[in-house]
Formats: sequence, C-alpha cells, structure tokens
Amino acid sequence: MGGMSRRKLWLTSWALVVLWATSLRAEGIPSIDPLLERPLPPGLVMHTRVIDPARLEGHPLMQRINALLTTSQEWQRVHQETVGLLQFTEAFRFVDHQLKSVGINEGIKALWKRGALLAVGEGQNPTSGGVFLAESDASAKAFAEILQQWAETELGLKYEPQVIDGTPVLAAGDLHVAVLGHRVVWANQAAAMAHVLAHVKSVPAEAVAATDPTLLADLHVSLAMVRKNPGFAKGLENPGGDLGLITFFGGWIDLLRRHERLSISLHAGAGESLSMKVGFRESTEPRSTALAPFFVHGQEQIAPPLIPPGTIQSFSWYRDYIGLWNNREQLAREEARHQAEQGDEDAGKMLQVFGTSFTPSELIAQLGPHFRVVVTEQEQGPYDKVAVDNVLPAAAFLVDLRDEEKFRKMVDPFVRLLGLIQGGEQRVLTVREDYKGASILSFVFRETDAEVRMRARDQYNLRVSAAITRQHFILGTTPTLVQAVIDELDRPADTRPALSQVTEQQLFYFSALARQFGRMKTGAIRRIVFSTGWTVEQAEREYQIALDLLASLGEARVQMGDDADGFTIELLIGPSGGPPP
Amino acid sequence: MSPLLASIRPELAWEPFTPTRKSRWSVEKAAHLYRRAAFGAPWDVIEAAAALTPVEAVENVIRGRDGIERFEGDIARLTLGTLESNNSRELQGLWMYRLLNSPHPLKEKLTLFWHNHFATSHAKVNSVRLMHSQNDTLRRYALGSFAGLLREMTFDPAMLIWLDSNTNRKGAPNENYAREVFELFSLSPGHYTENDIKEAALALTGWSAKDEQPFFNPAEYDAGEKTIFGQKGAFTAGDVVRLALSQPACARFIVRKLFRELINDHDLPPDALIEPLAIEYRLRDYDTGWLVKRMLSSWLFYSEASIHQRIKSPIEFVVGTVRSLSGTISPLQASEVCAQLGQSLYFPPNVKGWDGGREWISSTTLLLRQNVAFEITKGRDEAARLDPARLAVKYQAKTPDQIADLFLNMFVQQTQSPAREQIVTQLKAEIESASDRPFAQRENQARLARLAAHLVLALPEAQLS
Repeated sequence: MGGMSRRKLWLTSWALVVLWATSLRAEGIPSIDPLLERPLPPGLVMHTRVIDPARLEGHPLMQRINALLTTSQEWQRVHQETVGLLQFTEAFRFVDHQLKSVGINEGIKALWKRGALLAVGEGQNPTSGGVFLAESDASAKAFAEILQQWAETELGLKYEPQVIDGTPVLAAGDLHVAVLGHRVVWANQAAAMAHVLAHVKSVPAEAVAATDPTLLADLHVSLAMVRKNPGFAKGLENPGGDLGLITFFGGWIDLLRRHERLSISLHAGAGESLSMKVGFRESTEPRSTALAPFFVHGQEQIAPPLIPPGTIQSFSWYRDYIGLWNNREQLAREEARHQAEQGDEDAGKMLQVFGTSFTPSELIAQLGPHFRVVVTEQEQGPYDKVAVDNVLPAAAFLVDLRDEEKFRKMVDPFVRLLGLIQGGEQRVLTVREDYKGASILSFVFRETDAEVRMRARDQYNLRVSAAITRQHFILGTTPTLVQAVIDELDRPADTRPALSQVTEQQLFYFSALARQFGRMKTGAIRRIVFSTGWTVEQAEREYQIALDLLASLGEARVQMGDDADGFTIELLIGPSGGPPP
Repeated sequence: MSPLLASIRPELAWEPFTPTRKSRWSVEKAAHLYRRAAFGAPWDVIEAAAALTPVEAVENVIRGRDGIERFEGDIARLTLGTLESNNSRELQGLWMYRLLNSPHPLKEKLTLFWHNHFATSHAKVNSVRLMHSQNDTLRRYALGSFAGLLREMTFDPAMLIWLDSNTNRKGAPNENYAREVFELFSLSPGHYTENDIKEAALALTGWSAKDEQPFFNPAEYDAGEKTIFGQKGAFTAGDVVRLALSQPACARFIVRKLFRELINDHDLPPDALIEPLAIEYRLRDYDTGWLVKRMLSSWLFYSEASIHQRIKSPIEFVVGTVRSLSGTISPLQASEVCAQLGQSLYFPPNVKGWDGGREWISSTTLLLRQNVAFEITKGRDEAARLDPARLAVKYQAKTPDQIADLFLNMFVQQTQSPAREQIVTQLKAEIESASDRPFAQRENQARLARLAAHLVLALPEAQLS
C-alpha cells in the first residue's frame, strides 16, 4: 500500500464511507439497517418488514387522513370507549411513558425508529421471531430493561438470563429477548431464537443505502403453505372440475398454483401518493398456453380506459372468453367439459323459443376480448317528470365485437320481442333514438302519477340503454352516458402511452365519487340513521367527514399484469401531482 | 276491586301530589314518572327531576325538552325517503327513531296509545303513505282533543280502507266502521244498541278512500232519516261522531283507557274514581293534554296503586332500556325485536289492538326479553353506545356491591330487592374467573357491569313500569 499505513488507510476508508452515506442522505436516498435488505432463510410461512416507520406515519396522505379522522366523533368514541383498544393503548402509553422518563425522548417510537422485522415459521405451533431496530443502542437497552421490569411486576414472569450461541438472552417461559446494539431481537421459542440471532449476527450493523428508496413496508407470504391447505387444494387442480370457475377465475387460480410467494409492499409514490404492490413471485413453471386467453399475451393490449366527463371509475380489462372455451379440453376434466357442452347445447335449444339459432358459446364468440366499464357522476335523474332525490351514478359497460353485423342479427330476436311486450298498460316502454349514426334503444319506466306513487323513486335513476355501433356493444344505465361513450369511441387515437403487458387497469377519481355521494346524501343519511341509531345530526356530520376523506384521496390507479418479477397488481392512491393516468 | 285502589279516596285521588314526610318526592317517584310518561330516562335526568318539585318535573315531561323543532326538521328529512321507499319496515324504523330520540317522549307515548286505540294495520291498508298520514294525525291530536281526533279518524283514508268503508254504500251498508266506532273507539259495549249501529252505518255511507284521499260520493250516501241514540235526523258521518261524543259513556271510556295506560293495567277502577275526571274531560271538549297532566300530577299516580303496577309493553321495555342506558340502537333492529316480543308497529293483531297487561308476558316472551336484555347489554366493542360499562365508569361503580346497586337503582329503583344478594354473588363469582392479565382490570369491570345490567333487566321487577 505504498506510503500509507494500515491505520491511515482504515481511517481514510471509513471517512469515505461516512462521506458517501452522508451524500446519500443529502440526495434523499434513505440509509437503512442492512438487516432489512438481507434475504431471510427459506421455509418461512410469512415475514414482514417495516422499513421506514416515520416516513410511513408522516406521509402527507396518511397525515391528511389522520387529521380528518380526528374530527370524527365516532372515531374518537370508538377509540375512547372500546375496551379492547383501551387496554392496548394503555399498555402502549405505559411503555412510552417509562421510556421517556429515562430520557428516551421519542418514547416507544424509538423502539422501531429504524424499522422492524417479523417472521413466522411453519408448524402446528409456529415459531415466530423478529427484530426491532431502535433509534440507538441506549433506546434498545432501555426498552429491554423496561420490558423485563414490567413483565416481572405486572405479569409475574421471571426472566432468566441465558446464553444462546454466546449471546446473553433473557428468557421468560418461551419468550426470549436479546439486545445487540440497537437491535432488539425476540423469538417465541429457544430454537427460533438461535436462528434469529444467527441471522442478525451475520449482518453488519452499519447503515447502507436502501436498494429501493420508495419502499416503506412489505409482507411476504408463502403460497406453498396456502396450497397445502386441503380446502384450497381441490380448487387448484389442473385440469379443473368446474369450467365456470376456470372461465372467471382460472387465471388467478393459476397464479396461486405456479408461484411460491405472495408479496405485498407499500411504497411512497410520486407527489403525495402511496403505492401498494401485490406480487406473485418465484414461479415454478410458465403459464400454460391453454390459459393464455385469460390475460393479455403476445402483442395484445387492453383498450384504453374511457374517461368521459364526470368519470368516477373507469375499468378496462382483457379476457378472451371464447379462447378459453376453445381450450376447454386442456382446462377442464372430461366430465366438467361435457357438462358445460351439454349445458351450452340445451341453452341454445331454449333460446330458439325467441327465434334464435345460436348457442351461448356462439354468442360469446362475438364478444371481446376488450371489456370496459365506466361509472360517471350524474347530476340529476334521466327523466323529465320524475326528479329523484337519491341521484345515483350512471354506469356503462362495453365490449368490442368480432363481427358487428353477425352480433346484431343474433340479438335482433330479443329486441323484437321486447318491442312486442311494450304498449298498453305495461310499466316499461322502449324508446329509440339516433345519435351520430348509432341507434340507441332505451327501456323507460312510465311516469304516470300512479306509477310514481307505487314505485320506489330510486328506480328512476335508470333509463337502461343499449347500442351496437363502432364494432362495440354498449349497455348503459342512461342514454346520456351511452352517447358520451360513443363520443369517446369517436375521439381521435389515444395519445396515452400503451400499457404493455397490462391486462387490467382501473382508474378512480375520488373527488367525483365524493361529489356523487354528496348527491346521494339524503338517502344515505336515512339508511345510516336507521341502521346505526345515530341521530340525523351525527349521521350528517360523520357523512361529511367521510366525503372530505374521500375527496382528499385524489385519484387511484390499479393495474395488473405480467412483469419481470412475476405478476404484479399495483394500486397507486393519492394526489400524484402529475397529469391523470 | 283491589285493596290498593280501594284504599284511595276518590275525592283525593286526582288532587295534585304534594310531598309529605310520609310520602316524599324521590328518585323512585321521578323514575316512575319517566317510565310511565317517557319510556324511561338516563339516570342523570331522573336525578335532576328528583331535585325539582313534582309540579316542575311533570311540567318538563308534558312540555318536552328543547330541540323539538330541530328534531321535527330531522324527521321531515327522513320521512320523504321513507314514503318513497314504500317499505313498511322503514316506516316502522322511522317511528322507532322517534320513540328512541324524540325530545318529547310523552307525545310519542300517547301516539302509541292512540295507535292501539284506533288500531289499524298496514297488513290490510298496504300503503306506507296512508299509514304514515294516520300516524301523523294521531300525533297531532295525541295531547289534543279526542273529539277532534275521533272526527279525523272517521275520515282517515287508512281507516276507511281498514274498516271497509269503501264498501259501505247506500242500499248495501257495511256496518264494520259503525260497530267499531261505538264499541272500540268511543263508547264500549253496553252503551249502544244494534239498531244504533245499523243506523250509524247508513249515516256513514258514501265515504271511501280514493287516490289516497277521503272521498265522498253523494250518490252512494243514504240521505234518509236515521235514529241514533234515540235521536232522529238525516244524520251524516260527522253527526255520528258528534252523537257518540255527546254520550257520557264516551268520556268514561277514554278516561278508563288512559287509566289503564298511565296508572294501573290490571285493577279495575271504581266508577267513583273515574266519574269526576270523565265529567271534566267532557266539559273540556275531551282535552287529552289536560287529562294526562291531571293523572301524572295526582296522588293516585304516585301511590302504591300505580308504581310498578303496569307490565311494560315490548316497546316500553326496549326503548326504555336504551334510553336508560343513554344509548342508541338501530331503529330497524329495535322495531324487529319489538315485533318478536309481540308488538309490531303499524301491525296490531286486529282492530282491538294489543291487549297489553299480562298478555305481554308468557314463558316464551319472558325468555325473549331476557335474551334481548343480554343482547343489548353485552357491549360489543363497536356498540359502546349501549355498553353499561360506560355507566359504571361514569358513576364510579367498581365493586360488585356498587355495580349491583347502580343498576338496581337505575332500572328498578329497588336496591333492597331480594334479588340483590344473588346478583352480588354472581358478580363475585365472575371476579374469581376474571383475567389477571395486565391492564385487564378495565375489561374485568366492564364484564361485571354488563353482567349486572343484564341480570337486573332480566328480573321480574324490570318488566314492570
């Protein structure tokens, strides 16, 4: 090493590490105890990490929610009067007070200031253990002493000092606790304690830069353990015994079957948003080609979610139902397949009563694979004479058609039949109107005084309308929304970035939802009062808090699909500070 | 006649109660007033009433608390949607909300009384609007003029449907309403003849319910001469009411019914006790408010002949328990529970209404009441609104003796009850099996309070008003 002594080299290196760690902090990348980054041994049923408790608690979205909740008298009452909660909070306050009295200013929060780990092993009496990463060595030591005193005086437990693998451990019955610097290690069995200590001691204590600076907490669950449960095992059989189940849930069941781990992680998102990711990880085999139609695959993409004015929720997903039906030999056992095929044939015969000549599977073959639903605000009901007090949102469903003309011919007998039913004293009429070349058929409640008197007014939120146009089948609760959907379909090509590998996306606009709930306030208050016993005043106050809470959430986006790590469902919630997704 | 009633001098019975050394104004008497006139009340309200004079306490009950106008505004907001739902269950919930929360519970008590008197069932009327409209009328006249109420009920659309006035036509009279207006609504049997009924039915022809309104069709009305109570004339429906009200038996009948409602439900009062009130009631044009106030202020009301001399109806039991616990409960749930106990709002069993009194209690309903008491007092964490544990904390009752006394006082005002020792013994046994976990003391005390409240509410004494 030339002219530099070992000591100088060591000092220089250490200075560089400190400088580097400081620079990381200066750039906003958190430094964390490397224990939180180190993979855990295999064979755990579940483990969870809290990486950055202060950031989680102090997140603007959490702060906003908390501020609103504290104005809720009902929330306060539950906290102040629920006996079980009170006991927990009393214990919490006791330890907190004791820590502060010995100079640990942050009290009990100091115990997990730098994070926490918990793991649960297998077995009838599962082993569990964990680590609290205290603010400092002094906090860790103080907590262990307080815990010992408290257990001995309040519980009558006697902590016996032990040594496990050279480490001093306090044991009271099965509960074992040890302090290693700022790390408070615990486990519920001696053998588990040995494992946890070995793991902890193998990891240096000096802070490192977080690999994922956005990660706040996570939870990992072994799916292998779930699969062992006899109740689940039957449903996970492949091929399965229920074609209906496979059609609607097959893709999800397959995820459970092929992956070893379910991970749920909470991240700080852009702006004031929080992101939660649910991931299926460590797959043991690729998805079968028979199930490929369940999710987006190859070059396929979902249709862009519709966002007409006043959107509360917009949902777009891919599902090739006829593809799944065509693969039924691989997907379902013979008996289930034959049952479904027979059912399809029988249903086709029944439908002939209406003058049709197709089976349900032939009808479904015309639908998809791009499905969309949109829910929008509605400021008033869709009728002229009847004003609804409880204005419900409007909703529309649409699906693309493989052959519009063929589909139209298939459903024509039903339309003609409905046309025959109306007239005279019928309660529902059919009305046709043209909109930009599309024919919209609506089913309308009669608005006579007698009808209005006898009928619950909420029904007058519905003026169910349908249209077959632009290679789509559209079904909506109001013709206005169906028209808005047609306008969206006519919009010039979507400039939003393509969502590669995204098989489903949902968008929520909570302000719009809060506004709509505001319009439903009268009916909601009545239902709340009748079901809870609150007074009208209490119900109105709490309802307003709930509306404010909802509006404060901003927007949310859920999207899911295959990715490099497996299959991920991501929920992003809160004002992101950027353009809507 | 019961010895209790026999010992009451009629000329003094209705004089205003004035406390004496032998008969003090007390928490027991204040609680009795609130049980009878207001379904019960929280303990602090009773204690406050006991600190007033009897006159002031009765005045408070008659007048109701502040906030009546605001409460009626809340009711109006709930009513619109309820009517539009056309759902009888919600209609029941709406009234139960009133019973549980009204700042004027005496008015609700009397509305319930009149609902039982002019018993009309939604089962046949089948219209939430009409039943609600009738209920509003009953409430409007609850403490008002019975004369006005009888007139209104005669033309009430729900009543017209219920008692088949729709089919009472000239040439084909239906005597249903005529019979019931004399037998059940105004005079009682023995004070009219069959001929009076026949002739009254003719006078009542032409009326029906059309488009939810009373409708008179002159073509269906028998305009001929009728003889009712010995009087001749081309009587109309209004005359039938007037003639009934003019009978001395009418005032006596209503006074007796209110006696049963407010004073004592099993001992028959002698005529001498009833007559003075009946005479004055009639002279005051059947002013029910005056009559009720007179009864609630009287010596008789605060005597042994009245205190604990009524069996609580299911509604009195459920609503009273909730009010005593200063709690709240889902009105829908409460009305369902009352229905299970035998009293379903808007669904009286027949035109005679609920018999009440001892008919409320059977081996089945007694067991049900105990179960209801358990459900109400078990204090699920999220239903702390009804949790007796809160009251134990509020009144600092910690030991089994203190807790037992608190709830015996609160619900039955009998801390010397023979059941007290049994309750205390059970509470002590509960302590033996209690958890010794740290911070479990609060939970242990909560369990004691809930158990004590349940045990007290299950006592026979707690079934008495």
